[in-house]
Amino acid sequence: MNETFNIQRLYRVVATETFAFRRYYLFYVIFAAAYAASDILINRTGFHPGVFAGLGIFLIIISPFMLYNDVFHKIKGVNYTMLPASNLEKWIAFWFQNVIVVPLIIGLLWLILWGLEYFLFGRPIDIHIGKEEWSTYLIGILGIQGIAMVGTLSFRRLKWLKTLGAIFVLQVASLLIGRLLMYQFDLKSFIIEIQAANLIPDSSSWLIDYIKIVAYIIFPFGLWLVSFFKLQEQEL
Amino acid sequence: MIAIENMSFWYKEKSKVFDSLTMKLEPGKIYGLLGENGVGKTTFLRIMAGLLFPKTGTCEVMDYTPGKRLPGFLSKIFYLPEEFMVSHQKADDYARNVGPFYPKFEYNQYAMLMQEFGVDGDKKLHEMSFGQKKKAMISLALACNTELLLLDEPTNGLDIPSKTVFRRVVARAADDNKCIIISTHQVRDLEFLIDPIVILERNNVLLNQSVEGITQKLKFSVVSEVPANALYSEPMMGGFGVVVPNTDGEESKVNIELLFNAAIANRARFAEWFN
Repeated sequence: MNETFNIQRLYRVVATETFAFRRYYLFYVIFAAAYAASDILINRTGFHPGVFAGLGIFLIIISPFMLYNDVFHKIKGVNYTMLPASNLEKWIAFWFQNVIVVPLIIGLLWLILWGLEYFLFGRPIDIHIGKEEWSTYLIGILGIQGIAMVGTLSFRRLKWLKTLGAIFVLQVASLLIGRLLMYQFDLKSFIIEIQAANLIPDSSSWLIDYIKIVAYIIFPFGLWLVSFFKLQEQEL
Repeated sequence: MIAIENMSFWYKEKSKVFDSLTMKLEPGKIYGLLGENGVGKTTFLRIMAGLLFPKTGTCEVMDYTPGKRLPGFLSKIFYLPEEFMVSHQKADDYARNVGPFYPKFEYNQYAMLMQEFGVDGDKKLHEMSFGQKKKAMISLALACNTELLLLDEPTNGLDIPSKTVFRRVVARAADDNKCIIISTHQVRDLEFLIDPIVILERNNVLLNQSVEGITQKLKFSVVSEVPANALYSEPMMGGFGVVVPNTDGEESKVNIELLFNAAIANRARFAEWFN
Protein backbone atom coordinates (compact mmCIF):
# COMPACT_ATOMS: atom_id res chain seq x y z
CA MET A 1 0.00 0.00 0.00
CA ASN A 2 1.34 3.43 -0.92
CA GLU A 3 1.30 5.32 2.37
CA THR A 4 1.80 8.78 0.84
CA PHE A 5 -0.32 9.14 -2.26
CA ASN A 6 -2.93 7.10 -4.07
CA ILE A 7 -5.13 8.73 -6.68
CA GLN A 8 -8.12 6.50 -5.90
CA ARG A 9 -7.97 7.39 -2.20
CA LEU A 10 -7.64 11.07 -3.06
CA TYR A 11 -10.69 10.81 -5.31
CA ARG A 12 -12.65 9.18 -2.46
CA VAL A 13 -11.62 11.91 0.00
CA VAL A 14 -12.58 14.67 -2.46
CA ALA A 15 -15.90 12.95 -3.25
CA THR A 16 -16.69 12.45 0.46
CA GLU A 17 -15.85 16.08 1.26
CA THR A 18 -17.73 17.48 -1.73
CA PHE A 19 -20.80 15.62 -0.56
CA ALA A 20 -20.31 16.90 2.99
CA PHE A 21 -19.91 20.49 1.73
CA ARG A 22 -22.86 20.42 -0.62
CA ARG A 23 -24.87 22.67 1.70
CA TYR A 24 -22.17 25.35 1.62
CA TYR A 25 -22.01 25.20 -2.16
CA LEU A 26 -25.78 25.47 -2.32
CA PHE A 27 -25.48 28.47 0.01
CA TYR A 28 -23.23 30.23 -2.53
CA VAL A 29 -25.87 29.69 -5.25
CA ILE A 30 -28.67 30.90 -2.98
CA PHE A 31 -26.53 33.86 -1.92
CA ALA A 32 -25.95 34.84 -5.57
CA ALA A 33 -29.66 34.44 -6.36
CA ALA A 34 -30.65 36.48 -3.30
CA TYR A 35 -28.12 39.15 -4.26
CA ALA A 36 -29.48 39.35 -7.80
CA ALA A 37 -33.09 39.39 -6.61
CA SER A 38 -32.46 42.10 -4.02
CA ASP A 39 -30.59 44.21 -6.57
CA ILE A 40 -33.48 43.97 -9.01
CA LEU A 41 -36.09 44.76 -6.36
CA ILE A 42 -34.17 47.62 -4.69
CA ASN A 43 -32.10 49.25 -7.44
CA ARG A 44 -34.06 48.15 -10.51
CA THR A 45 -31.01 49.10 -12.54
CA GLY A 46 -29.12 45.85 -12.83
CA PHE A 47 -27.17 43.30 -10.82
CA HIS A 48 -23.93 45.23 -10.30
CA PRO A 49 -21.80 42.09 -10.68
CA GLY A 50 -18.78 44.14 -9.63
CA VAL A 51 -20.19 44.42 -6.12
CA PHE A 52 -20.96 40.69 -6.18
CA ALA A 53 -17.33 40.05 -7.14
CA GLY A 54 -16.25 41.84 -3.95
CA LEU A 55 -18.56 39.71 -1.83
CA GLY A 56 -17.45 36.62 -3.74
CA ILE A 57 -13.79 37.37 -3.02
CA PHE A 58 -14.68 37.67 0.66
CA LEU A 59 -16.39 34.25 0.51
CA ILE A 60 -13.34 32.75 -1.21
CA ILE A 61 -11.03 34.15 1.47
CA ILE A 62 -13.10 32.84 4.37
CA SER A 63 -13.92 29.47 2.74
CA PRO A 64 -11.38 27.49 4.86
CA PHE A 65 -13.13 28.72 8.03
CA MET A 66 -16.53 27.81 6.64
CA LEU A 67 -15.75 24.40 5.16
CA TYR A 68 -13.19 23.08 7.62
CA ASN A 69 -14.23 24.77 10.85
CA ASP A 70 -14.71 21.47 12.72
CA VAL A 71 -11.72 19.65 11.31
CA PHE A 72 -9.95 19.39 14.69
CA HIS A 73 -13.01 19.45 16.91
CA LYS A 74 -12.71 16.79 19.62
CA ILE A 75 -15.97 15.15 18.57
CA LYS A 76 -16.81 16.50 15.13
CA GLY A 77 -13.30 16.07 13.79
CA VAL A 78 -12.84 12.37 14.57
CA ASN A 79 -14.39 11.07 11.34
CA TYR A 80 -12.14 13.34 9.26
CA THR A 81 -8.93 12.48 11.09
CA MET A 82 -9.65 8.74 11.20
CA LEU A 83 -10.52 8.54 7.49
CA PRO A 84 -7.97 6.14 5.97
CA ALA A 85 -6.13 8.56 3.72
CA SER A 86 -2.68 10.10 4.02
CA ASN A 87 -2.07 13.60 5.36
CA LEU A 88 -0.95 14.61 1.86
CA GLU A 89 -4.20 13.36 0.30
CA LYS A 90 -6.26 15.14 2.95
CA TRP A 91 -4.27 18.33 2.42
CA ILE A 92 -4.62 18.16 -1.38
CA ALA A 93 -8.38 17.70 -0.93
CA PHE A 94 -8.38 20.67 1.47
CA TRP A 95 -6.42 22.77 -1.04
CA PHE A 96 -8.59 21.63 -3.96
CA GLN A 97 -11.85 22.58 -2.23
CA ASN A 98 -10.58 26.03 -1.19
CA VAL A 99 -8.39 27.02 -4.11
CA ILE A 100 -10.21 25.38 -7.01
CA VAL A 101 -13.80 24.44 -6.19
CA VAL A 102 -14.93 27.51 -4.22
CA PRO A 103 -13.37 30.12 -6.58
CA LEU A 104 -14.75 28.16 -9.54
CA ILE A 105 -18.29 28.21 -8.12
CA ILE A 106 -18.07 31.91 -7.20
CA GLY A 107 -16.54 32.70 -10.61
CA LEU A 108 -19.25 30.80 -12.45
CA LEU A 109 -21.98 32.57 -10.48
CA TRP A 110 -20.32 35.90 -11.25
CA LEU A 111 -20.27 35.08 -14.98
CA ILE A 112 -23.91 34.02 -14.82
CA LEU A 113 -24.77 37.37 -13.24
CA TRP A 114 -22.91 39.17 -16.01
CA GLY A 115 -24.81 37.08 -18.57
CA LEU A 116 -28.13 37.95 -16.98
CA GLU A 117 -27.09 41.60 -16.81
CA TYR A 118 -26.43 41.51 -20.55
CA PHE A 119 -29.66 39.74 -21.49
CA LEU A 120 -31.97 41.65 -19.14
CA PHE A 121 -30.42 45.13 -19.14
CA GLY A 122 -28.36 45.06 -22.29
CA ARG A 123 -25.12 45.93 -20.50
CA PRO A 124 -22.10 44.06 -21.88
CA ILE A 125 -19.43 42.52 -19.70
CA ASP A 126 -17.34 45.39 -18.40
CA ILE A 127 -14.24 44.44 -16.47
CA HIS A 128 -11.68 47.15 -15.87
CA ILE A 129 -8.83 44.82 -15.06
CA GLY A 130 -5.87 44.37 -17.33
CA LYS A 131 -4.40 40.94 -18.09
CA GLU A 132 -1.33 41.56 -15.92
CA GLU A 133 -3.40 42.78 -13.02
CA TRP A 134 -5.37 39.51 -13.02
CA SER A 135 -2.41 37.51 -11.77
CA THR A 136 -1.71 40.11 -9.06
CA TYR A 137 -5.33 39.99 -7.94
CA LEU A 138 -5.40 36.19 -8.03
CA ILE A 139 -2.16 35.84 -6.08
CA GLY A 140 -3.41 38.49 -3.64
CA ILE A 141 -6.71 36.68 -3.03
CA LEU A 142 -5.04 33.28 -2.69
CA GLY A 143 -2.38 34.82 -0.45
CA ILE A 144 -4.95 36.17 1.98
CA GLN A 145 -6.90 32.90 1.71
CA GLY A 146 -3.63 31.13 2.55
CA ILE A 147 -3.60 32.94 5.89
CA ALA A 148 -7.12 31.65 6.50
CA MET A 149 -5.96 28.13 5.55
CA VAL A 150 -3.12 28.25 8.08
CA GLY A 151 -5.48 29.68 10.72
CA THR A 152 -8.04 26.94 10.08
CA LEU A 153 -5.46 24.19 10.56
CA SER A 154 -3.64 25.89 13.46
CA PHE A 155 -6.42 26.75 15.87
CA ARG A 156 -8.97 24.37 17.28
CA ARG A 157 -11.58 26.91 18.37
CA LEU A 158 -12.47 30.51 17.43
CA LYS A 159 -10.34 30.03 14.35
CA TRP A 160 -11.10 33.29 12.54
CA LEU A 161 -10.83 35.39 15.67
CA LYS A 162 -7.49 33.87 16.63
CA THR A 163 -6.23 34.23 13.05
CA LEU A 164 -7.09 37.94 13.08
CA GLY A 165 -5.42 38.22 16.49
CA ALA A 166 -2.30 36.47 15.20
CA ILE A 167 -2.14 38.80 12.16
CA PHE A 168 -2.48 41.82 14.45
CA VAL A 169 0.25 40.57 16.80
CA LEU A 170 2.57 39.79 13.85
CA GLN A 171 1.98 43.21 12.33
CA VAL A 172 2.66 45.01 15.59
CA ALA A 173 5.77 42.87 16.15
CA SER A 174 7.13 43.50 12.64
CA LEU A 175 6.43 47.21 13.00
CA LEU A 176 8.29 47.32 16.30
CA ILE A 177 11.21 45.27 14.96
CA GLY A 178 11.34 47.49 11.86
CA ARG A 179 11.43 50.64 13.97
CA LEU A 180 14.06 49.15 16.23
CA LEU A 181 16.26 48.22 13.25
CA MET A 182 15.81 51.68 11.79
CA TYR A 183 17.12 53.33 14.96
CA GLN A 184 19.73 50.70 15.74
CA PHE A 185 21.41 50.58 12.35
CA ASP A 186 20.37 53.94 11.05
CA LEU A 187 18.62 52.28 8.10
CA LYS A 188 16.78 55.49 7.27
CA SER A 189 19.96 57.24 6.18
CA PHE A 190 21.03 54.04 4.40
CA ILE A 191 17.84 54.10 2.31
CA ILE A 192 18.30 57.83 1.62
CA GLU A 193 21.84 57.09 0.49
CA ILE A 194 20.63 54.35 -1.86
CA GLN A 195 17.97 56.69 -3.23
CA ALA A 196 20.58 59.42 -3.68
CA ALA A 197 22.81 56.98 -5.54
CA ASN A 198 19.79 56.37 -7.79
CA LEU A 199 19.70 52.67 -6.95
CA ILE A 200 15.94 52.91 -6.38
CA PRO A 201 14.88 55.03 -9.34
CA ASP A 202 11.12 54.46 -9.10
CA SER A 203 8.46 52.16 -7.72
CA SER A 204 9.05 49.55 -10.43
CA SER A 205 12.68 49.10 -9.44
CA TRP A 206 14.44 45.77 -8.92
CA LEU A 207 13.94 46.05 -5.16
CA ILE A 208 10.17 46.30 -5.48
CA ASP A 209 10.18 43.40 -7.96
CA TYR A 210 12.33 41.37 -5.60
CA ILE A 211 9.99 42.08 -2.66
CA LYS A 212 7.03 41.14 -4.87
CA ILE A 213 8.59 37.80 -5.82
CA VAL A 214 9.40 37.00 -2.20
CA ALA A 215 5.87 38.03 -1.16
CA TYR A 216 4.35 35.84 -3.90
CA ILE A 217 6.40 32.86 -2.77
CA ILE A 218 5.32 33.35 0.83
CA PHE A 219 1.75 34.31 -0.09
CA PRO A 220 0.33 31.81 -0.92
CA PHE A 221 2.90 29.03 -1.55
CA GLY A 222 4.67 29.31 1.79
CA LEU A 223 1.38 29.46 3.63
CA TRP A 224 0.12 26.36 1.81
CA LEU A 225 3.24 24.53 2.93
CA VAL A 226 2.75 25.69 6.53
CA SER A 227 -0.90 24.56 6.41
CA PHE A 228 0.24 21.08 5.31
CA PHE A 229 2.55 20.76 8.33
CA LYS A 230 -0.18 22.10 10.62
CA LEU A 231 -2.55 19.39 9.35
CA GLN A 232 -0.01 16.73 10.31
CA GLU A 233 0.65 17.92 13.83
CA GLN A 234 -2.87 18.59 15.08
CA GLU A 235 -4.20 16.49 17.95
CA LEU A 236 -7.80 16.15 18.98
CA MET B 1 -0.53 -5.98 18.29
CA ILE B 2 -0.09 -3.02 20.68
CA ALA B 3 3.17 -2.28 22.47
CA ILE B 4 3.34 0.67 24.82
CA GLU B 5 6.74 1.48 26.29
CA ASN B 6 7.35 4.05 29.03
CA MET B 7 4.62 6.21 27.62
CA SER B 8 3.72 9.45 29.34
CA PHE B 9 0.91 11.74 28.39
CA TRP B 10 -0.50 14.89 29.89
CA TYR B 11 -2.77 17.75 28.99
CA LYS B 12 -1.09 19.83 31.71
CA GLU B 13 2.38 18.70 32.69
CA LYS B 14 1.66 19.06 36.40
CA SER B 15 -1.11 16.45 36.31
CA LYS B 16 0.01 13.57 34.15
CA VAL B 17 -2.62 11.22 32.76
CA PHE B 18 -0.05 8.48 32.12
CA ASP B 19 3.41 8.31 33.59
CA SER B 20 5.84 5.77 32.11
CA LEU B 21 3.08 3.39 31.16
CA THR B 22 4.26 0.06 29.77
CA MET B 23 1.94 -2.66 28.56
CA LYS B 24 1.23 -5.07 25.73
CA LEU B 25 -2.11 -5.98 24.19
CA GLU B 26 -2.43 -9.07 22.00
CA PRO B 27 -4.62 -10.02 19.05
CA GLY B 28 -7.44 -12.54 19.35
CA LYS B 29 -8.83 -10.97 22.51
CA ILE B 30 -11.62 -8.69 23.61
CA TYR B 31 -10.14 -6.37 26.19
CA GLY B 32 -12.37 -4.69 28.74
CA LEU B 33 -10.93 -1.31 29.66
CA LEU B 34 -12.15 -0.20 33.07
CA GLY B 35 -11.31 2.67 35.36
CA GLU B 36 -12.74 5.43 37.46
CA ASN B 37 -13.94 8.65 35.85
CA GLY B 38 -11.06 10.77 34.62
CA VAL B 39 -8.28 8.15 34.79
CA GLY B 40 -7.76 8.42 31.04
CA LYS B 41 -9.67 5.58 29.38
CA THR B 42 -10.74 7.74 26.46
CA THR B 43 -7.29 9.35 26.27
CA PHE B 44 -5.78 5.84 26.15
CA LEU B 45 -8.02 4.90 23.21
CA ARG B 46 -7.34 8.20 21.43
CA ILE B 47 -3.58 7.70 21.71
CA MET B 48 -3.91 4.24 20.19
CA ALA B 49 -6.08 5.71 17.43
CA GLY B 50 -3.46 8.37 16.65
CA LEU B 51 -5.70 11.26 17.63
CA LEU B 52 -3.38 12.19 20.52
CA PHE B 53 0.39 11.78 20.59
CA PRO B 54 2.40 10.46 23.57
CA LYS B 55 4.53 13.18 25.13
CA THR B 56 7.34 10.74 25.92
CA GLY B 57 7.88 7.03 25.33
CA THR B 58 6.38 5.04 22.47
CA CYS B 59 3.10 3.51 21.44
CA GLU B 60 3.22 1.09 18.54
CA VAL B 61 0.09 -0.41 17.05
CA MET B 62 0.51 -3.19 14.47
CA ASP B 63 4.09 -1.90 13.98
CA TYR B 64 2.78 1.56 13.10
CA THR B 65 3.24 4.77 15.03
CA PRO B 66 -0.40 5.85 15.35
CA GLY B 67 0.40 9.59 15.41
CA LYS B 68 1.71 9.42 11.85
CA ARG B 69 -1.81 8.52 10.72
CA LEU B 70 -0.65 6.56 7.71
CA PRO B 71 -3.48 5.22 5.54
CA GLY B 72 -2.25 1.64 6.02
CA PHE B 73 -2.73 2.08 9.77
CA LEU B 74 -6.01 3.97 9.56
CA SER B 75 -7.52 1.31 7.31
CA LYS B 76 -6.74 -1.37 9.94
CA ILE B 77 -8.35 0.43 12.83
CA PHE B 78 -11.85 1.64 13.62
CA TYR B 79 -12.42 3.94 16.57
CA LEU B 80 -15.97 4.52 17.70
CA PRO B 81 -16.01 7.29 20.32
CA GLU B 82 -18.66 7.63 23.00
CA GLU B 83 -19.92 10.84 21.43
CA PHE B 84 -19.75 11.12 17.69
CA MET B 85 -20.94 13.22 14.80
CA VAL B 86 -22.95 11.61 12.08
CA SER B 87 -23.34 12.45 8.45
CA HIS B 88 -26.54 13.91 7.02
CA GLN B 89 -26.66 10.91 4.71
CA LYS B 90 -28.83 7.83 4.93
CA ALA B 91 -27.09 5.20 7.06
CA ASP B 92 -26.69 2.82 4.11
CA ASP B 93 -25.30 5.55 1.85
CA TYR B 94 -22.83 6.55 4.54
CA ALA B 95 -21.67 2.92 4.84
CA ARG B 96 -21.31 2.74 1.05
CA ASN B 97 -19.17 5.91 1.07
CA VAL B 98 -16.96 5.16 4.06
CA GLY B 99 -16.74 1.37 3.72
CA PRO B 100 -14.50 1.30 0.63
CA PHE B 101 -11.75 3.08 2.60
CA TYR B 102 -11.42 -0.18 4.55
CA PRO B 103 -10.08 -3.08 2.45
CA LYS B 104 -12.01 -5.76 4.38
CA PHE B 105 -15.33 -3.94 4.50
CA GLU B 106 -18.31 -6.10 3.57
CA TYR B 107 -21.54 -4.36 2.77
CA ASN B 108 -23.61 -7.54 3.16
CA GLN B 109 -22.23 -8.02 6.64
CA TYR B 110 -23.13 -4.41 7.44
CA ALA B 111 -26.67 -4.89 6.13
CA MET B 112 -27.03 -8.08 8.16
CA LEU B 113 -25.84 -6.36 11.35
CA MET B 114 -28.23 -3.45 10.77
CA GLN B 115 -31.03 -5.96 10.41
CA GLU B 116 -29.96 -7.76 13.56
CA PHE B 117 -30.01 -4.46 15.47
CA GLY B 118 -33.33 -3.56 13.88
CA VAL B 119 -32.10 -0.29 12.38
CA ASP B 120 -33.55 1.04 9.14
CA GLY B 121 -30.58 1.84 6.91
CA ASP B 122 -32.80 3.90 4.64
CA LYS B 123 -33.19 6.52 7.36
CA LYS B 124 -30.92 9.56 7.58
CA LEU B 125 -28.34 9.19 10.33
CA HIS B 126 -28.89 12.63 11.88
CA GLU B 127 -32.62 11.96 12.16
CA MET B 128 -32.09 8.77 14.18
CA SER B 129 -32.23 8.55 17.96
CA PHE B 130 -28.89 8.31 19.81
CA GLY B 131 -29.33 4.57 20.32
CA GLN B 132 -30.14 3.97 16.66
CA LYS B 133 -27.17 6.05 15.55
CA LYS B 134 -24.96 4.04 17.86
CA LYS B 135 -26.26 0.75 16.49
CA ALA B 136 -25.71 1.93 12.92
CA MET B 137 -22.14 2.98 13.76
CA ILE B 138 -21.45 -0.30 15.58
CA SER B 139 -22.69 -2.18 12.51
CA LEU B 140 -20.37 -0.15 10.29
CA ALA B 141 -17.45 -0.57 12.71
CA LEU B 142 -17.85 -4.36 12.77
CA ALA B 143 -18.41 -4.66 9.02
CA CYS B 144 -15.14 -2.82 8.33
CA ASN B 145 -13.43 -5.93 9.75
CA THR B 146 -10.41 -3.98 10.97
CA GLU B 147 -7.66 -5.68 12.93
CA LEU B 148 -8.12 -3.26 15.80
CA LEU B 149 -11.51 -2.09 16.98
CA LEU B 150 -11.69 0.56 19.69
CA LEU B 151 -15.12 1.04 21.25
CA ASP B 152 -15.65 3.75 23.84
CA GLU B 153 -18.72 3.08 26.00
CA PRO B 154 -20.49 1.20 23.19
CA THR B 155 -23.46 0.09 25.28
CA ASN B 156 -24.34 3.60 26.49
CA GLY B 157 -27.67 4.48 24.98
CA LEU B 158 -28.51 0.94 23.88
CA ASP B 159 -31.75 -0.63 25.07
CA ILE B 160 -31.71 -4.05 26.80
CA PRO B 161 -32.38 -6.19 23.69
CA SER B 162 -29.75 -4.23 21.76
CA LYS B 163 -27.19 -4.90 24.47
CA THR B 164 -27.82 -8.62 23.97
CA VAL B 165 -27.39 -8.22 20.22
CA PHE B 166 -24.23 -6.21 20.82
CA ARG B 167 -22.68 -8.97 22.92
CA ARG B 168 -23.62 -11.54 20.29
CA VAL B 169 -22.26 -9.66 17.29
CA VAL B 170 -19.03 -8.64 19.01
CA ALA B 171 -18.41 -12.20 20.17
CA ARG B 172 -19.03 -13.36 16.61
CA ALA B 173 -16.70 -10.74 15.15
CA ALA B 174 -13.78 -11.70 17.36
CA ASP B 175 -11.14 -13.90 15.77
CA ASP B 176 -7.45 -14.71 16.26
CA ASN B 177 -6.26 -11.73 14.20
CA LYS B 178 -8.46 -9.08 15.73
CA CYS B 179 -8.06 -7.12 18.89
CA ILE B 180 -11.16 -5.47 20.28
CA ILE B 181 -10.83 -2.97 23.12
CA ILE B 182 -14.00 -1.90 24.86
CA SER B 183 -13.91 0.93 27.36
CA THR B 184 -16.92 0.78 29.64
CA HIS B 185 -18.52 1.65 32.94
CA GLN B 186 -21.38 -0.74 32.22
CA VAL B 187 -19.45 -3.83 33.32
CA ARG B 188 -22.57 -5.94 33.77
CA ASP B 189 -23.43 -5.45 30.09
CA LEU B 190 -20.18 -7.04 29.06
CA GLU B 191 -19.45 -9.43 31.91
CA PHE B 192 -19.25 -12.56 29.76
CA LEU B 193 -17.73 -10.88 26.76
CA ILE B 194 -14.53 -9.22 27.91
CA ASP B 195 -11.37 -11.14 28.63
CA PRO B 196 -8.72 -9.97 29.56
CA ILE B 197 -9.61 -7.14 31.87
CA VAL B 198 -7.55 -3.96 32.04
CA ILE B 199 -8.07 -1.59 34.94
CA LEU B 200 -6.53 1.83 34.60
CA GLU B 201 -5.68 4.01 37.54
CA ARG B 202 -4.32 7.53 37.53
CA ASN B 203 -0.98 7.51 35.71
CA ASN B 204 -0.74 3.78 35.15
CA VAL B 205 -2.26 0.32 34.72
CA LEU B 206 -3.50 -1.34 37.86
CA LEU B 207 -4.40 -4.65 36.27
CA ASN B 208 -4.00 -6.29 32.87
CA GLN B 209 -4.95 -9.90 33.32
CA SER B 210 -7.01 -12.66 31.74
CA VAL B 211 -10.11 -13.87 33.59
CA GLU B 212 -8.32 -17.16 34.18
CA GLY B 213 -5.34 -15.36 35.70
CA ILE B 214 -7.66 -13.37 37.95
CA THR B 215 -9.55 -16.42 39.22
CA GLN B 216 -6.28 -18.18 39.98
CA LYS B 217 -5.49 -15.46 42.50
CA LEU B 218 -8.91 -14.27 43.59
CA LYS B 219 -12.14 -15.95 44.56
CA PHE B 220 -15.56 -14.37 44.12
CA SER B 221 -18.54 -15.57 46.11
CA VAL B 222 -21.72 -14.60 47.87
CA VAL B 223 -21.62 -15.44 51.58
CA SER B 224 -23.79 -14.76 54.58
CA GLU B 225 -20.90 -13.43 56.67
CA VAL B 226 -17.93 -11.42 55.49
CA PRO B 227 -14.70 -13.40 56.05
CA ALA B 228 -11.79 -11.72 57.81
CA ASN B 229 -9.49 -11.98 54.75
CA ALA B 230 -12.00 -10.32 52.41
CA LEU B 231 -10.37 -7.82 50.08
CA TYR B 232 -13.70 -6.28 49.35
CA SER B 233 -17.32 -6.92 50.23
CA GLU B 234 -20.67 -5.37 49.55
CA PRO B 235 -24.20 -6.33 50.46
CA MET B 236 -26.20 -7.98 47.72
CA MET B 237 -29.15 -10.32 47.27
CA GLY B 238 -28.58 -13.42 49.43
CA GLY B 239 -25.81 -12.00 51.61
CA PHE B 240 -22.51 -10.31 50.81
CA GLY B 241 -20.57 -10.37 47.58
CA VAL B 242 -16.95 -10.87 48.57
CA VAL B 243 -13.55 -11.02 46.96
CA VAL B 244 -10.96 -13.04 48.83
CA PRO B 245 -7.47 -14.32 47.93
CA ASN B 246 -7.80 -17.71 46.24
CA THR B 247 -5.81 -19.90 48.61
CA ASP B 248 -7.42 -23.24 47.83
CA GLY B 249 -7.20 -23.08 44.02
CA GLU B 250 -10.94 -23.33 43.62
CA GLU B 251 -12.28 -21.62 40.51
CA SER B 252 -15.03 -19.05 40.73
CA LYS B 253 -16.92 -16.82 38.33
CA VAL B 254 -15.50 -13.29 38.09
CA ASN B 255 -17.82 -10.55 39.16
CA ILE B 256 -16.26 -7.60 37.35
CA GLU B 257 -17.95 -5.00 39.53
CA LEU B 258 -16.59 -6.64 42.67
CA LEU B 259 -13.20 -7.04 41.03
CA PHE B 260 -13.08 -3.39 40.10
CA ASN B 261 -14.06 -2.20 43.58
CA ALA B 262 -11.59 -4.64 45.15
CA ALA B 263 -8.82 -3.35 42.89
CA ILE B 264 -9.57 0.27 43.74
CA ALA B 265 -9.64 -0.55 47.48
CA ASN B 266 -6.39 -2.58 47.37
CA ARG B 267 -4.24 -0.85 44.77
CA ALA B 268 -0.90 -1.82 46.24
CA ARG B 269 -1.79 -5.50 46.68
CA PHE B 270 -3.24 -5.73 43.18
CA ALA B 271 -0.17 -4.09 41.71
CA GLU B 272 1.99 -6.62 43.57
CA TRP B 273 -0.12 -9.64 42.53
CA PHE B 274 -0.82 -8.84 38.93
CA ASN B 275 2.17 -6.85 37.63
